[in-house]
Parts: sequence; C-alpha cells; structure tokens
Amino acid sequence: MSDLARKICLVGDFSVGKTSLIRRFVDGQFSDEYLSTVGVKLSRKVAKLPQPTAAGVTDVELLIWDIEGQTQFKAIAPSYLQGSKGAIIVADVKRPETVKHLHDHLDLFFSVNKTGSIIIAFNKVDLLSAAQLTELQAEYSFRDRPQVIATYTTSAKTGDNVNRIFQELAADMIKVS
Amino acid sequence: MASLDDKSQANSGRSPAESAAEPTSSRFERLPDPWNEARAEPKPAPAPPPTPPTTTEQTPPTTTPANDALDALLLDLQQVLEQPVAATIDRSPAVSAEAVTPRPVAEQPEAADPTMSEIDETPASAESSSESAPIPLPVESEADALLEKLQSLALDALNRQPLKPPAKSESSLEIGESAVATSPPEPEAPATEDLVTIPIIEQLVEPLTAPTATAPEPEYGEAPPAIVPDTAVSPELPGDEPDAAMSPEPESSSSPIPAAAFAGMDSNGAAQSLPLADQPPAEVGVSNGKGSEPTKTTPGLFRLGDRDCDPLDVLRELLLSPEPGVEAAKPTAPQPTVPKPPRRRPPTMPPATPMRPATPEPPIAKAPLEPDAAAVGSQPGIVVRPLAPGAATAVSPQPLPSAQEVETTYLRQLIADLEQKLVELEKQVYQPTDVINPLLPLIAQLMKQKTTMNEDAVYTAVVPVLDRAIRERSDQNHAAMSEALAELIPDAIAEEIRRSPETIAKSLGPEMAAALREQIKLEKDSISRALGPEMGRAIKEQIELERDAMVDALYPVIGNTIAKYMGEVVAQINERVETALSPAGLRRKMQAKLQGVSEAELILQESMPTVVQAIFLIHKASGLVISELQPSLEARLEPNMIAGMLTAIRSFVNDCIAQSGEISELNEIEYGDSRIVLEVAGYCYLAVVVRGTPRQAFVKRMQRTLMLIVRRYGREIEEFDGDSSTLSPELHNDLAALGDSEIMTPDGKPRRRSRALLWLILAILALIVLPWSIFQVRGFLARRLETKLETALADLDAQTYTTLDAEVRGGRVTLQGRVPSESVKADAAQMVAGVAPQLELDNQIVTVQDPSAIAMSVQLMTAALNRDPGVELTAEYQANTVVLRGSVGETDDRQSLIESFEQLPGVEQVDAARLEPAALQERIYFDLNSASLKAADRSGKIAAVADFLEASPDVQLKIYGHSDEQGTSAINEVLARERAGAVRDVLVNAGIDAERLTIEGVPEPPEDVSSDEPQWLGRTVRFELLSAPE
Repeated sequence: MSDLARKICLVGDFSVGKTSLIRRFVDGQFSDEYLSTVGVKLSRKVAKLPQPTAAGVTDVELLIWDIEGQTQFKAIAPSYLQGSKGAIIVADVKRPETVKHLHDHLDLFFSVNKTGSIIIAFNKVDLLSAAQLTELQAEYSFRDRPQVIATYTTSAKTGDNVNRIFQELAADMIKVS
Repeated sequence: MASLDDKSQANSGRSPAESAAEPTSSRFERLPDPWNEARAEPKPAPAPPPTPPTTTEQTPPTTTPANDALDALLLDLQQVLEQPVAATIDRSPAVSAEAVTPRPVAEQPEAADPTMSEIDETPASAESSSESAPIPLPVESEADALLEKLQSLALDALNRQPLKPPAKSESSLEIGESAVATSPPEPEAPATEDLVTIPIIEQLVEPLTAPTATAPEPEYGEAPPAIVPDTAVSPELPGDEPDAAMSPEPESSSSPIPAAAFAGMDSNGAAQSLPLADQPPAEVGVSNGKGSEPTKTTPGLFRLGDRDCDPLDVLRELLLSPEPGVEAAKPTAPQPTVPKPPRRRPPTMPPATPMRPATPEPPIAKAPLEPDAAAVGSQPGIVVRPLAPGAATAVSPQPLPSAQEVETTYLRQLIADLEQKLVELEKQVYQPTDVINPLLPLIAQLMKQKTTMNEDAVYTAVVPVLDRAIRERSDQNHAAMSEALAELIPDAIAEEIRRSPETIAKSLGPEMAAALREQIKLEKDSISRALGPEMGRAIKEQIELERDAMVDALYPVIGNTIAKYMGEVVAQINERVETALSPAGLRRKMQAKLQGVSEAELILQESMPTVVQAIFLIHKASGLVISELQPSLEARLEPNMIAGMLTAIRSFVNDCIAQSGEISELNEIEYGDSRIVLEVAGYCYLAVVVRGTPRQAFVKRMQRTLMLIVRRYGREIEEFDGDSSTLSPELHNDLAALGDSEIMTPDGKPRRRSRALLWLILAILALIVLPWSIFQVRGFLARRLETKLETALADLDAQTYTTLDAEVRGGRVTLQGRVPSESVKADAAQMVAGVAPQLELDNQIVTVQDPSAIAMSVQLMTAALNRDPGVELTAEYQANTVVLRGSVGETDDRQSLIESFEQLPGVEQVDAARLEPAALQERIYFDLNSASLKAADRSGKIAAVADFLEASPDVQLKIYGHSDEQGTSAINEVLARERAGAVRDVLVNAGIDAERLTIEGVPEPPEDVSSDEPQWLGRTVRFELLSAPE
C-alpha cells in the first residue's frame, strides 16, 4: 500500500474561525455558534492532488489538527505543531490584533518545523466591505517569508476560498517533500 | 358655592398670572402668596406695599358692580357645582400623583381660552363636561337666575380681585392639576401675589393664620372621608368637568378651583379671597361649605379648602356652636360613605396645605368673609357664618366702607336673595343625596357613554388613581378588599396565564421555591404526595432529554451501589469456585497461588478473553501512522485519526500533566473493557488496542518487537513524512509478526496451557491405571491357574490334613498345606508339575504327625470294623502304636483286622495281644468248695478253647483260678489253684502243649466281679491270652 498522509495545523488566536474553516472544508457546514476548541480536535479529509505523484498516488489524506486558539492567558502548545508539514494560520479581519499576531504564529510554527508550507487566511471576510478588503490586503504582506505560499481572504460562512486554501496547501506539501 | 367661586377666581387669577403681559397677571404677581411667603420670605417683603392698593381697588369695584359680579359668581358656582366633582376627582389624582406642584404656567395662561383648547384637546373631557353640565343644571334650575347674577358678580369680582385668589388658585391649580412643571409656576406666583395680597392678608389673617396653620392638618385628616365620596361617585367626570369648567369660563374656571380645593389650602384661600373682594355670599357659601356641606361634588374639596383656610373656624364651629356642629354633621355624614378617598387626598394635600394655604388664605378668606358675613349677617345664608366667626370679624370692616348706601340696600336685598338661593343650592350641594340621587343613574350612563366614546380618556382619568385607590381601600378594610378581589384573582390569573404564560412564569418563578418550602412546612407530605407519582416519568423524560446529566447525577450513588453489589457477587463466585473441585477450579487455584493473585480475578480474566484489535506503529512527532495491523473482521478503526489523537494526548500528558523536568510516558489508555497499550521508542511508538487484559508476556513481546523495528528501520521512521512508499516493506512484516503471534486469536496461550495440562493428567492417569490394570490382568490369569492346580490337588485331599493351596505369583507357584507324609507331599509336587510345568514350584507343604488326627482315624477304623458280626474291639492310639482289644470271631478276621489298622497314616505299630477270640471270653464256674469240672464245660467251653489253641499255635494262654470270698485264703488259694489246674489238665488232655499253658490261683473273685454280686461268680476260671513269646 502506498498511502500519502500529511498533518496540517490550523493556528491562530481564539475565535478567528479555525474550527469553522475546518468544518466548512470537511463537512461543508457552517454554524454561527461559537464553541471554543479545547486542546486539539482532529479532522481528516482525503484531498485530490492536482497531479499524481511520482509513485502514482492521486490522493492525500489530510490530518487536520484544529489547535486550541491562543489567548492572552494561554499560548499554543508547540508539541501539537510537531511533524506538521503545513499550516494554515488564521486571522479575523474584524479583529486587528489577530492579524497582528500572525507573525507570532509564523515564528512559533517555524520554531517547531523548520520546513513547512504556510497559508495565511484572513477569515470572516464576509463581514467586510470590498474596499476594506483591498486595504487590508495591501497592508499585510508576507513576501519576506518564502514559506508562506499564499495569503487568502476566506469566509467559512460563505465558503469563500476555503477549499482552495486546503487544496493548495496539500498540493504544496506534496511538492515540497 | 364659595369653593366654586374660589375656583373660578383662582382660574381667572391663574390665567392672568400666567399671561405675564396682562394686568391681572401683574396683580397676581403683586398679590402675595401665602405659599410664596411661606416658601420664600424675600418675595413677601416687596409684596406688602403693592398689596394694599390692589385690595382697596378691588374691593370698591366689587361693591358697585356687585350684581353683575354676583351673577357671575352664581354662574361660576353653578359651573362649579357641576364641575367640581369632576375637577376634584381629576385633580385629586393629579394632586396625589404630584404632591404640590402641578402644571402651573401652562394651564394658567390658557385658563380663559386656553382651558378651552385644553378641553378640545381632550375630547373625553369635553364630552364629559357637556354631559356633566346638563346634570347640574336641572338641579340648580331654580337658582338659575341667582346663579347668573352670582356669576356675573363673580366675574367682576374676579376681574378685580382675581389677584389674590388667582395667585393662590393658580398655584393650587397647578398643584391640583397634573403638575407639569412645578418649579416655574411657584416662583412666578409668589412674586405676583406677594405684591398685593400680602399686606391685606397679613392684617386680616394674622389671627387666623396661626390657627389655620395648626388646624389644617388635622382637618385634612378628618376631611378626607368627605372628599372621598366625590371621587368615588364620578371618577370619570372629574376629568371632563374640569375641562368643561375651564371652557365656559376661563376666568372663573371651575377646574382651577377644584384643583385648589384639592390642594386644600389653596382652594380655600382662593375661595375666601374672592368673596372678600366681590361678594360675601360666596364667602358665606364657602364658610357654609366649610361648616356644613360643600357642594356635593366638591364636598371633599371644600372641606379640604375650608380646613385649609378655615380649618380653625370649622373646628371652632364644630366644637363651640351646636348649630355648626349640626351642619358639620352633614359633611361628616358624607364622609363615612367614602372613607377611603379622603385618605388619598390628604397625603398629597398636606404638603401643599402647610406651605401656602395655611397662612395666606386664611387671612384673605377671613377678610372677605367677614364683611360679607356682616352684610349678610341677618340673612339666612349667614347661618353658615358661625363657622368662620373670626373671618367675619376680620372682613366686616372692609365691605362697610366700600359699599354705598343705596347700593348697599339693593345689594343687601340681592345678597339676601342670593344667599337664600345659595343656601338652597348649598343644601342641594351639601346634601349629596339630593343632588347625587338624580345624578346617580346618569353617572352610570355617563360612564358608559364616556367609555364607549372614548375609552382612552376614561383610562387616563381613572388609571392614575386606581392603584392608589386600591391601596387605600385595602389599607382601610383589608378583609373587604380581599373579599372583593378574591373572586377575580383565579380568573385573572388564568387569563393572564393564557395570554402570556411567560410573564406569569417570570413573576411566580422566584417564589415557587419559597412557596413549596412553605407548603412543606405546613403539610409535610402534601408536596411529596403531589410530586411522587410524577417522579418516575419525570426521571424517564429527563433521561431521554439529557442522559449524560442524569448519569452524572446518579453515578455517585449508583456507581457505589453497583460496585458494592459486584463485590458481593464476586465474593460469592469466589466462594463457589473455591469450593468447587473441578479440574478447572484446581488449575485456577494453582495458577492463583503461583501468580499471587486472587482466584476471582482470574475468573474475571477468563471471562473476558483478550483480543488484540489493532496494532499501530505511529510516528511520534506528526502522529501519522507508519504501519498498522487490523483484523479484517471488525469495523476498521480509522488509523490516522486514532494515531493523531493518541499523539495529541501523549503531547498533552507530557506538556501539561507530567512534572516539569520529568519525562513520563503515557503507557495505557483504558476505556470500557478495552485498552490501548503504548510502547515508546525512538521516533515512533507502538499502540496496541486490546480488548481484555493483555498478558505480561504479550507486553514483553511488544517491547521486543518495537526494539527490533527501531533498530532496523530507525532511519526510515525518523524521516517518515506520511508517505508509506518510503518505508521498506519488511517493516510491516516485522510488525505483522507481532500480530501473528497473538493477534485476533482470542485467548491463545491459555488454551495451550490447558492442553499441556491435559497431557500431564493423562500421563499420570496412565501411570496409575496401567500397572493397576496389568496387575489386574495378571491376577486374573494366576487365579485361573490356581484353580486348575487346586482341583488337581483335590485328589490328594484324602491323604492330607488340610486342603492343599496353590498360589501363583509371577512365574512361581507356592503349595501350602499339611500332609501326614513326605510321599503325599511328593505326590502333590508331581501333580503341579503335571498341570503347570512352566511354573517354578515352591513346595511349602508341611508333613505333620498329628496324634489327634491319627487317633481319630483309628477310632473311625474301629467303628467301621465293629460293624462286622463277631467282631467286638476297642482301639487305643498311643505313641505311634495302636492297641487293639476285644474279640474276634474268626482267626482270619483277626489278622486282616490288624492289617487294616496298620495301614492307617501315622500308625506304625499295632498291638493286637488283647484282641482275643470269643472262646477265651467264656468263664468256667465251680461249685462251692469244689474244683471239679462240670461235664458240660469240658465238652463245651473248654473244647472251644482247645480249638482256638490249636488254631493259634503261637498263642500262649494263662489260666486264672478264682475263689469266692468265703473261707480262708489258704483254702481258697488251693482251691483256686486246683480249679485252674483242672482246666489245664483237660486242655492238655485235649492235646495242647502244656508249656503254652500257665496256671495261677487267685484266692479272690476276678476284678470285674464286685463283692455284692453272687458268690458263685467268684468261683470261676478265666483265660487270658498272652502275646506270643518274643
């Protein structure tokens, strides 16, 4: 058997919508209820690769670690990030401080995993006007970090870019390895 | 009436006061307000100077245009009569709602026209007013003319005098009416009022003020009852009437008056002030009202007012004069009817009264009243005066100087008429029944109509007072109120529940617990009895709704109970098992002893077979599965999910739970009857999902396998990134080896153990059974041989003492028995050899010489031989020798006889010497003293002997001669010898060798002959055979 599996983590401040993004991606659902994730929640989804690998594998099993959001009282446990080849770092566009913390999360991730692909997700974009969006996108750039392969504005509520970030991350992880 | 006037004045006063531009207003401003004075002294100070002029000015005009003024007053009164009820009611609520400060400015300016506008605005009130108007009219129809005059008078008076009353009335109105802005009006009022009124008031009132101040309060307390009736009668009307009152005559607007009345002090003050200026009658009326009865509608008000301004008077009247007392009785009468309402007002009133009315009004009132009183004194209307004597005195001076003679007479007449009318009116007014009765039916209708036409108005009118009314009433008569409401409450609650259950729930909710507690306190079992039957269903329902919560709640109780129960059960099982002696039990016992665990534990373990459900080799960092092994049968576990979660848990334990600095690993996760056993090494760890309890051996094997894998594939594992193609396939095989050893076969090893044990048992059994069976078989064979031998040996029985035994054991036969001779022994040996030649012979037969046995056989032989005729023998066995005695008939027989004895076993010698022939047994007898033979004997007995002797040549014979016991022995000896010799001779003669014959003489009888036998037996010869000489 030649299976391909990858661990990816969702990192970010509390209540930025990590769990919602995963729920949207895995179950295709969304709920306004806020349920704080405690510890870690695991989800799994098989993603199609854009092109088969050298070994002829066409699917990758994504093990998505939904890690308890960072609060001012509690940092993210680095050990949860171990062995992760990719991560989606999430911020809430309506809460500027969560955007500011993106770099901290990047640093944390790279301190644990020297290599690894990152996608930045500005979430809850459905709450923002188009103008604000462009402004936001202009303001934050992660060009200085080559491992950040993309930055997207997402909305778990509308499903905007949600599948895309996972698919793209999956493809990139396979490519890198 | 007076109150009405007051009111009208007050209204007019107000309007001017409010409209600052108007002169009246200025007057008002000048007029000193007792309230203002009372409130703010600075203002009163300036006021004094202006007041005197105003008063003087006013007074004269009042006298001259008295008629007009009176008419106006009458009209006012009429209106007031109609309106007061409503007004009072309206205002009373307002008053109650807002103590002293009503809407001052707003209403006042409008008073004239504005009032109308107000009325218009409030349609309900307008309507009511219109309705109310007709009612009073009929009642007062008689006095119409008078009223008109009075009204006109009042108007004039108002025009002139409004100053004082208005200010007060305004203030009062403000107070009475729903006070929109209290602060503004007050300041204004004081300023205006102060100017004119203060001086007069001071002069006039001085004496009164003091009393009023004291009196008012108590009166209020008393008055309230009187007031009540009004409000009670027509709650709606008040609202309308006041408006109506306002509309018809802005100046004398009745509405203000009522308000004043409510205010108490103010109204009185106003009323008094008016009369002073214009018409005494009004004053009188007022006084009357105070004393006896205010208008029906406003009785309460009036009284209040009276009390406020004339409280002292009233009191005095009541106390001092019997007549007033009677009059007072009337007011009191109404009071009882409506006890509650009074209370309402009083509370509100008091604040107002003390402030202004007390001081200022009394003076004014008195001043005007007195003059009037003096004028009217003689007239009937004056009857009332006694009430306010003080006031009358004070007032009188004023009217006298002002009135002209002609006019005075006319005026007096007029006044007299008016007073009469007034009195009548008053009667009507003060005797509520007269006025009210006709009103009653209408009121109901009015209410109804009003309600249908404009519900809101009714609401607004009634609503503000309702709560208070109810509260007052319930204070007064708790029981009655409860009774009245009791019926409604259940329905009301039911309705409310139907309409908005949530509200009811919200309002009842907080008290439910307390209510339940209380009920439990009262009746201990009631609640539990009520709830009991529902508990079961409630619990069931709750379990359906929230199973986990119920489990959590019950766990501490049930968990313990179950644990206890299980403990008992296990103990029982243990006991049973321990007493049971099954092989399994024994095995378990041994196992328990060996492992040092309880047997019950083993039983449980046995009952829960161990099954390895899955094996995962997991990458430590990423939590991805490197390799896995799962039985194909059961539902497959999602390997990466499990691995991930386990990894997260491991991380959690290491990060959060383990003490810092220590590295501690998660070894096992238990869930239900299953567990996940974890073994960590290198960059991976092994997780094995096991149902049941894994054996120690398996855990060891796990560790070995993991070490092996880490050693062999450490590098691959370290670099594993989720791509299984990077791993060597052998890894999986190595892991599978672990699985093969144990996996999926429930309870493998225990079964092997039991088989070994079975073999062991079988072997033991064989060891026990085989020898035994062999022995059994061999015994059986030997037994058969023995019987064969013994039957053979039985042939020798005759020659043996005992039956011969042959015992076969192994290849050897042992013979046992007792035989008399070696020959028999040898015979036996020979026979065995013949039957079983293969056996080795152990001949243990004993040859025995048994004397008793020989003797026995001798006896037997003897008995046998004795059967022959002619043979008569006895045999005796002694030391291998048989001694035979007896006789034998034939000689030959004798020989054969001896031989047969000699053949007996053990007999070695036979002594036959004593065995004699019969002939020798004969004896030969002799006569006494004779030795000669008888002839017969010679040929008989002796011949036989001779024959024997001849036949037995080797036999020697002894012949004994005997004698009897007679004679001497010597003779007998000779005789005996002779006798023996005689026989010998015969024998010798017969040819017998003499040498074989021996004789002997025995001088006595033979031994066998006793002495008592006949003597002749002794005289005999006998023979004795001697053995052959050796």
